[in-house]
Amino acid sequence: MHERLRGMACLAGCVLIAAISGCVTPPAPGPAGDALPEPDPSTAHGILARNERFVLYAPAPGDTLESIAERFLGGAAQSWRIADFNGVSRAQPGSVLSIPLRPVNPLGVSANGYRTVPILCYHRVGPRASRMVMAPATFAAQLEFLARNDYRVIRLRDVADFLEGRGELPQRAVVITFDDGHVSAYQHAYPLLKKYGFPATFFLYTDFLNTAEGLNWPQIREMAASGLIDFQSHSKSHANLIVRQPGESDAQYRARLDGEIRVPRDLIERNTATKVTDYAYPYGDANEIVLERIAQAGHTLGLTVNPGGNAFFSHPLMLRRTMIFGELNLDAFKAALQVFRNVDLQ
Amino acid sequence: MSFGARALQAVVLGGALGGCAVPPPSEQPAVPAAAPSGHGAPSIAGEAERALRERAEDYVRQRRWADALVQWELLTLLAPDKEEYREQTAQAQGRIKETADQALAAAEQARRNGNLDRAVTEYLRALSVDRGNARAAQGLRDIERERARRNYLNRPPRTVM
Repeated sequence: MHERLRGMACLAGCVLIAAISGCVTPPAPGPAGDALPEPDPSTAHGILARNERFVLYAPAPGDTLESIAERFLGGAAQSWRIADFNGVSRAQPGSVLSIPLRPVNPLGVSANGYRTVPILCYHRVGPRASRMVMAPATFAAQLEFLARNDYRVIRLRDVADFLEGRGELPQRAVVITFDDGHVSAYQHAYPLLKKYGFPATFFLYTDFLNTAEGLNWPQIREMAASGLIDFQSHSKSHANLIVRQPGESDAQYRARLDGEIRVPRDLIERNTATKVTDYAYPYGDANEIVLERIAQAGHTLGLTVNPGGNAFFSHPLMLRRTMIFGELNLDAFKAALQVFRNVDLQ
Repeated sequence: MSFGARALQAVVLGGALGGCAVPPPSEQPAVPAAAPSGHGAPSIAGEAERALRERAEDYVRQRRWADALVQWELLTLLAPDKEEYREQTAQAQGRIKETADQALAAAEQARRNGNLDRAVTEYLRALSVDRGNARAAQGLRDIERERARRNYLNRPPRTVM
């Protein structure tokens, strides 16, 4: 909340600059009689100053945060860096934007607390809603809420970079995941994710694929080709990995775990162009041996269903994920979006 | 150097470094000098300087050294010939080191005493001023790893979601 207030204060500051500039600079005589401030001659082409860390830029009429990000940050998708740093939602001619060329606060710790990333966990989307099945209209309403309230749906890979201190995340970053590989994710969720341009990770348990209710490979390949959906591992059989079979020795247990870890990894990699690095534990459960086998098989992220947001210092193989049940109303959904943990560090 | 001259230099430099679709300087109309701060109508750069300075001073009052440092850095970039901004940058850096060192010492003492909540707060305090402090970041990761192991790895298995 404090960070949002700070953002609002920054926004107010920028608006103030714009307002003051507008007062002291005669309006440009435009054909439509619009009263934009006359461009400052010193800011021709916009750049006031620049070094390896920042550009100070005065937006011109017609500039958007996306076009500025395209120019300075290598792509419109990076526009959030300008928005977050300046506490603005659009480029305002007559104001000055500070454009960070490098991460300013990659770990997300500030005087008021620290940033966390909620990872949402869905299962099925379909007309008969229940605890594990979400109505398409409910899912659409949740995506609409995210889009309208400046949440940025990021890829799970971005979380790995955040945990390693290599990548800064947007202030309101959220990850969407689906478990199991139910065909309804293709029928109902995928079209909505495409509509909003939101990426998601689908965790597959591979024994379920090509069954009456499971996804098939052509559907998986189609979604992977969209560039929006990433496929990762959710075991072979969906057995709870911490439950030992009667009389199972340590060696037999490890061998069984290896099958649950390596078979889906190899199948997904063979059938898609995806590198499998992430593993969602069936039922969200893991133990020391599971973590050891997961890491040994080359996985870098492991996901539980322990609810809450993830800070930069979260255990990468024990990431929190919040289950989004079918009966959840919008208020409960909002409560699941834990993007900042307040701590007074003054 | 006047603001206008500096701005011209910045535009030329920016165009060269940015590789953006800005015509080369020789093709541009001459960039007249903007009104320097304090003479006539304030320029956009002058207003930006005023706003950045206000924000920097606000952060100093709140002892938010990391935030203040960024503002002083931006001011130094905008007005490189103003010695005051360099001095303020150096002062903020000094405060950051002092605060981070104190917080790190407190964190490690708390950790030795088994007070992990306090250790976490102190490591976070160190990072809130010194945002790249590797020791504080690693301390937090180690504590979280231990907590995750203790709180979640020895639970009975779930049978339903």
